[in-house]
Amino acid sequence: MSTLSELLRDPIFQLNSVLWLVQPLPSGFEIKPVLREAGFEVYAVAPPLAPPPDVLLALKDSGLAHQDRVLPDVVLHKGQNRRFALVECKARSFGHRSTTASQARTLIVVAGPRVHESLGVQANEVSQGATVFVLPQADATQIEATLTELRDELITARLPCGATMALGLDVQPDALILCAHEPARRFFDLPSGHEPFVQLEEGTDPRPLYLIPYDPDCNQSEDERAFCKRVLFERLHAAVLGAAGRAVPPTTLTLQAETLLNEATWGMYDLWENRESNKHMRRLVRDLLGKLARVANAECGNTLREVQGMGYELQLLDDETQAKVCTVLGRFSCETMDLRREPEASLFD
Amino acid sequence: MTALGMEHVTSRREMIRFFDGYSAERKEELDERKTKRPLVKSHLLEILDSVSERGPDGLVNIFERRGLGLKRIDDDLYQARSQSGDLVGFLEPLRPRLIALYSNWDASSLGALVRNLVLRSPEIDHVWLSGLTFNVLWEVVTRLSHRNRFARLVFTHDSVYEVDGIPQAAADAEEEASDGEEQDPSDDVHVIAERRAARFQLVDRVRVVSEKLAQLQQTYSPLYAISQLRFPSPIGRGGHDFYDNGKVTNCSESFRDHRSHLLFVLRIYEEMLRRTEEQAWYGVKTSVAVPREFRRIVGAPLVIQFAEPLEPRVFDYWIESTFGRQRNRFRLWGHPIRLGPTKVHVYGLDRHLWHPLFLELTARGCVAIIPDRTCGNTIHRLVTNIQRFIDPGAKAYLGDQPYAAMVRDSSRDIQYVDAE
Repeated sequence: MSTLSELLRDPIFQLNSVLWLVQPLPSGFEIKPVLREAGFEVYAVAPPLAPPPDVLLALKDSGLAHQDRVLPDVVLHKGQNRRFALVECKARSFGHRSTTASQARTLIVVAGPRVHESLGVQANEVSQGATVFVLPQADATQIEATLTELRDELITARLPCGATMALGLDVQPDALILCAHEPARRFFDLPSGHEPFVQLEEGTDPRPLYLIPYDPDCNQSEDERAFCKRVLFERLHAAVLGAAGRAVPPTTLTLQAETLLNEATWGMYDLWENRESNKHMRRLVRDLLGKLARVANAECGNTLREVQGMGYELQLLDDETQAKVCTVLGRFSCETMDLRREPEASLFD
Repeated sequence: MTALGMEHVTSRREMIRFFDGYSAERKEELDERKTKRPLVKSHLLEILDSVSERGPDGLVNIFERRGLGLKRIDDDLYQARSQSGDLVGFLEPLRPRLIALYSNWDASSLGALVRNLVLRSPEIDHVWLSGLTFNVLWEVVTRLSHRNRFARLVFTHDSVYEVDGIPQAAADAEEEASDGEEQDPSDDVHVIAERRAARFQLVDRVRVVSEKLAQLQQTYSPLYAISQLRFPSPIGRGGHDFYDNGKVTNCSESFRDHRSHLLFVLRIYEEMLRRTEEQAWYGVKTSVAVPREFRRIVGAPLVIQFAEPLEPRVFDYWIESTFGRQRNRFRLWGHPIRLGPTKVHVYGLDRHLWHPLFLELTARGCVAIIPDRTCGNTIHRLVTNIQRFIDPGAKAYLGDQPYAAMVRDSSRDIQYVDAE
């Protein structure tokens, strides 16, 4: 299990924390949704955004390293004063010559005065856009300096820029806190610069339920990657067992990796455009289905089998078989899987 | 009309006349404390959208597959027979997703039949009326009934996980009633058996209960766990006893009035389901403004806060006996991820409906995320079971809104009329 400081550096923990900070929750609950209390809600998760074409041309002409489009982890929106925050979660700060800086430049430009065009809304629906990096508080000052440098470069190149700021995550003896320096405190209308948002309990991991369980493209420690893989496997396992339990025999269910992944990730799988990552995800599903097939077939005959190009087929002949298959599949635990091993490519890849 | 007469019922009108006459006879016997035959009972059941969307054939197929034969005798009215061919009673869809099974079978035979039906069918569930829901329905009773009428409330709290001695005792308790339904074979004559757990009834005038109940609940939390509530009949003496698992016993002289009360409560429940699913369903939804591009997370968690934190030992019994056993009171499946001495995450299933359910369970409470399309009944069953088996004084919220306020809002615009 990760230490608290390792946990605060984990982008999946950071993303899920941001999502919980805008959830509707009762007062007195262990998580204080400080951003929701300030009026923010989720506008979009991982939306693909590009600067307007003329701005993109100017960005290209500037010679500054950039990306043509960006996918911020989440966009937050405050309807009352029409503010949009393009939020990106990072393990650590970065320098203005790093590859991450090219992503940051595009984010800063997209969040500029023409952000309404990138978001596809009317100009009067946006009063201010900002690029917000969420990272450990220890790195907040450094990233603010980098962001100022990047912004200065862009302004010098006469490119439109949005505000930039950092939200830091830190630990106090009894709580995780959200730290906001003056620009972020003003933008998010936070009452103070240090807002406790999760109460800590000795010997207890403070992470919330993960709404987004896994992202193959983000950098995580081995421990955190293994934890997220376990959560993904649990959700995939539930999707398989749920399909088996809901079926009406006699029937044959087709279990396809894409369908299961979309169910387990609430449709986020469709957003991942990196083909290698998609292959990696499908291999994870095949790995799990292979294990489930072994235990199911050992006790229930040849009920779960791989069909080339189709995924797996689960055959449920009658109510009795269905009940037995559900018992056997339910008994299997993903905890027994080697969560640190990367799945191997197969002929079907 | 006798039981033989029930065979010859061919329309809704005849069914109502039959049960009206039958109910009047039983009420007389009840008043003389000499019940010769069982009272009329209704079981309120929820069926999944997918079944109701399949029309009458869908309904018939689902019940037949589980051993209850249905024969249509009128618009939306079916004669129901058991697998052995015995006439059970009549089944009537009262709302698109909610149905009533009327019968004059004795409580234990009918209870077993319905219990088996629900246990074996992911498409069928009880209507779950939690203590929090009953508290709001009690407010409705106080508005509906004359202040001097007698009210009857039963409170049930079985701390099955709070067992002295060896853990096996808790596990054994878990096996007793795997669907959470407490059998009360004597309920036809209203005798409440004493139990080790807090289970007792309160019978007094509406005005007296209404003055004292809130104070008593603050003093003794099991009084929040109302598991049965009587709606006094406005037509005559007696009333309609609603149970937390959707069973309703007609202790009045009128079946017509009984059915009218079922409709009234089902309209409230239907609105509760609608509001629960509208608010609680989690998912990544595509933005209406920019199809296929922007996705946002919508939904609200169910948050349950216990009045007192559970002892670590009790928490462990709860987790072990719920997720270590296929048949468990909460009807949940999952493999808990341990995050501390009294904190687990479960990315599992509602094992009755086989729909996903994500849970954070701690000594201080529970957070439940129900993904899009998971039936709202999951939430009402969870709240009912937590009040009954874990903490009767637990408070529940859908997002930042109190669950009780949602129930109250659901009951606000429902009219009390026999208009179907």
